[in-house]
Amino acid sequence: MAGHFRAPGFCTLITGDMHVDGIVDLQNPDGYDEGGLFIVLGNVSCHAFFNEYGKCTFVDGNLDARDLLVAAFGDSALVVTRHLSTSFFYGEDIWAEVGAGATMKYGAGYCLPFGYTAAAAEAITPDHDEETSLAQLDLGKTDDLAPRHFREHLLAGKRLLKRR
Amino acid sequence: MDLSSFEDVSREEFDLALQHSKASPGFRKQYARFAPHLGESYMLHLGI
Repeated sequence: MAGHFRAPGFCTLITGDMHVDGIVDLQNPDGYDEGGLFIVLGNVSCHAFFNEYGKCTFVDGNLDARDLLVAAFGDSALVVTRHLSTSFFYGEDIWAEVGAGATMKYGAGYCLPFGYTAAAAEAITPDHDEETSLAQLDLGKTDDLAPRHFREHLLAGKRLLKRR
Repeated sequence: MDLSSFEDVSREEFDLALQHSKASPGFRKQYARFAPHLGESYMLHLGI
């Protein structure tokens, strides 16, 4: 699918793979507050992926958000039955649960494997620590970050990471 | 993916589509564990 994708319903079920050139944005349609359900029974690939406050999101396959994955929405859940991969994972206090591991180059936050029993010991963290990761962002700020800062930045067509 | 191919369905149709889907056992286990709260609007996209 060319362009961006925004969840069309409060509860959405997609059977099959989902490939989006731009952003997958699970923000609810107008008229709804937080919450909802989003299910893809297949693999998801996109440029950036945003969950939603209070939303339960399931990917029954791999989730590859090439540049950015934002999971840091209060009371939300993100469950990926296979592998999660992204360049930058933003999941402050909200982890993603994965069935077959996760690969994250930068980020703030972590993933946990299905069936974890000791979160601290089993956490899957980005390759680079949080301080190093946040320093890579080209958002103009790194404190008091909220998901909307990432969304607005990308929708404005700006680059996420600083040029090296 | 064509957005126009999303179908507005009832809660029952949504549940049936999920029940009869080829979802993996791993998904079904996690879905049951989370038991997500459902709402009022249900959209379905089948057969990609």
